[in-house]
Amino acid sequence: MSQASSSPQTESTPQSTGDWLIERIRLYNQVDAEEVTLDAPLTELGLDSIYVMTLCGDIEDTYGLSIDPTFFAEFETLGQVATALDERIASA
Amino acid sequence: MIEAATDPEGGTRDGCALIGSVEVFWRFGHAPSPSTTRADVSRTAHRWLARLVADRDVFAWRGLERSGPWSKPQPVGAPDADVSISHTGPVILVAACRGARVGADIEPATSTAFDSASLTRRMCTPHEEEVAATLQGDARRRYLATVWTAKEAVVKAQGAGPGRPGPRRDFRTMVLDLPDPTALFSAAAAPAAGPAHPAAAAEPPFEAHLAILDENAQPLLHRLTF
Repeated sequence: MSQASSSPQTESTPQSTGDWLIERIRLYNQVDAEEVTLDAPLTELGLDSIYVMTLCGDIEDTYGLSIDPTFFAEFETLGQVATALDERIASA
Repeated sequence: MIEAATDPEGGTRDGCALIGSVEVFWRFGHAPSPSTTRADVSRTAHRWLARLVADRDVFAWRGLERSGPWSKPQPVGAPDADVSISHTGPVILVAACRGARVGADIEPATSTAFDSASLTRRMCTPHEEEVAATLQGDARRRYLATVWTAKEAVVKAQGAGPGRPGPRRDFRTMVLDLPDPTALFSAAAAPAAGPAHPAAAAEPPFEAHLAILDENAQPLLHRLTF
């Protein structure tokens, strides 16, 4: 599995954070790539326990944010996660 | 394990593990081929669980209920009973018992998910990271699968989960009584630094753990391989 990319050089936006999330989750290769969209329900992305924790680690590596796995339980779609994560990045 | 048998339902295996003084009944198998989605596999797992509970007379099955969308399902009308469901792809492990909280987890023993450095860092104690660093290839993956399934089974017994608010413990500080990596392989030689251990390829493809919490809420573990 590819390791998380280094911290993005440009300022993040909900769109760029969403694009990054889509890229990472497609790399996990648990569902077909076209199913990984911002509108997709989180429960349909193959994010079982291992990949939720992997994603937390990838977020930490890329954005320097410590995210607990329970963070994802607050949202229904990947787009909602992207918006909330971008807010965390902006306020960090 | 005190017993195991094959096939009450098309290719499944049943067993009963005595963990502490608690009998934990389990059923393992592959979901039927039409089960293509996670929801399909989940429905199959629930059906197997109901059959297991009835076949082994674990408790009176009246279905499961959740207190919330991310909460652990609990048996209806059986407060002293507990169940746990795990599936990875089409592979299912379900467990049920009375008199204790139970957790079950199963993973492919050589999953490339365990190649992720960020996952290893989040799931291992410093000692476990040191051990993993001495292993390579499938031997390393199997060791990490063992660590993962043990810890995940414990948090499931506690009623926590990756997306469930609650007292989920930090895997980096969760110290469990796990076997030495040399015990994970049937060959006499211990996996060591260098090329992937040759015995790893012949090992069972799935690692699993059952966990219960004792009267002091301390975890007791039972390793399964399939």
